[in-house]
Amino acid sequence: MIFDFAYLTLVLALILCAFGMAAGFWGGRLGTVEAEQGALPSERLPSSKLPNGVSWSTRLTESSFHSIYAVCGLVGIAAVILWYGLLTDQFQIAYIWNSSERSLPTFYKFAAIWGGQAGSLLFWTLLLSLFSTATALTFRSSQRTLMPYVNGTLLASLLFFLILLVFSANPFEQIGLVPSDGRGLNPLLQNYWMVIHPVMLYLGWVGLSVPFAFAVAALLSKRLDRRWVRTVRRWTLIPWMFLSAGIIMGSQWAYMELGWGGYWAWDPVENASFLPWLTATAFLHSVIIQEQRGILKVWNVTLIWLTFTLVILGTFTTRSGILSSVHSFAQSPVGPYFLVFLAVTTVGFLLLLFQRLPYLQGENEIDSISSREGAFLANNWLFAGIAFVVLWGTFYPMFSEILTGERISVAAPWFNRVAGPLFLLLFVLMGVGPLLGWRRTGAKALRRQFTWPVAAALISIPFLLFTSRNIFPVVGFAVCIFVAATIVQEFVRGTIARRRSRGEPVASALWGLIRRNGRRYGGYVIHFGIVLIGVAIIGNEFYQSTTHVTLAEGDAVELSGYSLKYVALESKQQSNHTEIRANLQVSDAETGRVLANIFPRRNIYDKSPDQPTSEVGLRMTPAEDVYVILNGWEGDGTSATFTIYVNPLTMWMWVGGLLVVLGTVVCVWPHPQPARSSREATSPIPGGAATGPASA
Amino acid sequence: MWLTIALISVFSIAAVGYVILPLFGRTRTVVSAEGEELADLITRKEVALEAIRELEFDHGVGKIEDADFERFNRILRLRAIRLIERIEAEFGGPDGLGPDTVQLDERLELEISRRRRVEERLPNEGCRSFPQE
Repeated sequence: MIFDFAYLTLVLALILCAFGMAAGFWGGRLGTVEAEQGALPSERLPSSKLPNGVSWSTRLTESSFHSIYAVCGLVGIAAVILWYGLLTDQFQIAYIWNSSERSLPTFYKFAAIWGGQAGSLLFWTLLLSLFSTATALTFRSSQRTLMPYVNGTLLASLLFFLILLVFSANPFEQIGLVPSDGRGLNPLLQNYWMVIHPVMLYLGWVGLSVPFAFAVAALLSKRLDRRWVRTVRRWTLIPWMFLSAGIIMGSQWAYMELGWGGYWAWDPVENASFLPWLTATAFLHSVIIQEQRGILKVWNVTLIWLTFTLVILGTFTTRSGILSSVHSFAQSPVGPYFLVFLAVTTVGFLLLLFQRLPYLQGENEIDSISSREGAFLANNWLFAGIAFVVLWGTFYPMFSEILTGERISVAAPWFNRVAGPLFLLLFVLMGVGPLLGWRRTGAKALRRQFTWPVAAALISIPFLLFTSRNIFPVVGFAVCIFVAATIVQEFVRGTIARRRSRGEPVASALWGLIRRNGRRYGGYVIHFGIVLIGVAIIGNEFYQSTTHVTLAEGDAVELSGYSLKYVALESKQQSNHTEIRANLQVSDAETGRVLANIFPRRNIYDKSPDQPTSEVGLRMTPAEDVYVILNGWEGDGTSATFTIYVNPLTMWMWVGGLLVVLGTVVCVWPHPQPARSSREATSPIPGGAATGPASA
Repeated sequence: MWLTIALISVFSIAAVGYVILPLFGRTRTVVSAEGEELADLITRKEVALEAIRELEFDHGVGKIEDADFERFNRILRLRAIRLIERIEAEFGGPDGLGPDTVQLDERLELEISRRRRVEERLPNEGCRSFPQE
């Protein structure tokens, strides 16, 4: 009964969503028309008044707000009921039967809501409704012209997902009998990183609907001034942070669970999460130029549309199964729905954009190439170029099959070869940009700014040549050192300038600098995190060593200065699977000193014995990881086969990821706001408009 | 089954009523074109003031040469003054920024110094509330 009720709440949410969307767009349209007719306060226009004196545009807009809150409540009820079903083993529900089992740990039962198709769509809808509600509550008063359209756009997205849930992927579908047990969660998903990684990605993807909604609202209302970009700045940074964290956590999952020695394989679904990250990052930079200089207006709305489109395209890729992927656990017939939604949003947005082109003229021009806006512009072209390369490589197998009938896959080496140089250039710009001032940086200032970072990079090259004769990692590391040096210089010079002007101690000056200029220095922290990720990638790409061996008990193998001795094979029964783990002793090959014991293992799940998962054995240090995969064993473990890797500098990827999150928190942290005059305080200024120097 | 229908009916009536309520009752929010234009001007003024601060900061750490600083500072201040002038011409008096007799450029300096003082009111420097001017 309760599950029928849950399904009907989704149907009710769909109806209210459709009404709210229409009310939002209609209310916005009436408001825009009224504002255009003599710029009179809309409530004074007799044509749109009701008997009690409040205009239709206001009433419809208010109704769209109420719709958002109601839809959020109804979807929330449905999600809570599905969670209840998962936690109490209601296997008469097809989704729960397919995604859970009695012996599944509670932790994974909770996470099973995003372990399958229908549940993950419901979870997505829940997050989108929560983001929509947060947006409505935050900007209800401050963005009165934009909000009707923002509501309409967010409700349109919600409507699409509710249509999927009601007509194609009902999470409450019943199978007519009550099975004694479920079929179990996909073994690959029974990993702690897999519990948190999809949530982060969803928060990122779903959150990016908000800036898209504001862009559509700005175009529809013709309010294309700087207010909407100031409003969405923070609301883009927060989902961007979640998306970054999701991508890094996904890499951790791939590294620990998939057992192929790396963290990123340019898998189609990995690319699907990376593509919107690229365009959102470009947007976060170019939006600063629009805010500061009033230029790149068309580019910015295009970027945020591209980001939203790539989110939907990525979801379509995952769900439709058009591209084979390690993430193929969630395929179903919802693909065509996504394709239609994608086509509608693309055509609709482009038509609107062309109609509004006259309102999107730039207010200024770039004064000089040697300026921060010049560097940001170049960085945007590079981001766009990388996004194009990744998109092309991802969909090439599909295009090749359509055109030639033969599916030609594009593998990781192609991506590395084509995107690698572009990333290197991007890193150079990441160092150059912060050294330049807005508008123009003269020759003398350029010399002063570049001397130390360039010297640091050049000095490092002879030392780097000792580590490799290959020029690519040497150049890569040198560029990373250059960028790191620019960041250190920025902190040092800023602190010195503050100390000089205020006579503060170093710690106070540094704290004050970051606190007062959170956006600028938070950006530098993010850049430093990206540098560390770059260092880890170069280390893994060019300095990794590997071997594949079969060892009898007591035998040892040497690799990159380590000796690994196979001690024994052990077996342990867990609640829903058996762990077969090898005990390997890691020692220093030269001195024989024992460093650690590591335990690569295979998990054989009771419900999926033919789908064993691999959990790598790992010894992680700042210098390198010893990473071992248990491939197989003979009989009761008298011998076992291993693939062993020594992965240099990998740990810095996870540290870098943490810094990216930390830096974003610094960026979005509210800064002290100057008090407004009484008249200004009553005007509808964006609530999210923070003061602080704009930077990357 | 009947209980489900009864329950969803109650929910539907409550939810639909909540959503369509604003179509019949009085609401608080009022949209005015005048307010939107003022908001737009204030945003542009805030952007100009931020740009001045950015420029001063970049000059302070040596990214902008003196001659460029003088030129850009003049342009930005002029822009900010024009915006203050427009806000006052179209939407009334100075309102909290000092007496009417204060010149526009002095008013701009007042705004800039007020922003500086508020931004410097940092947790490690005490939390005195900033008095309204």
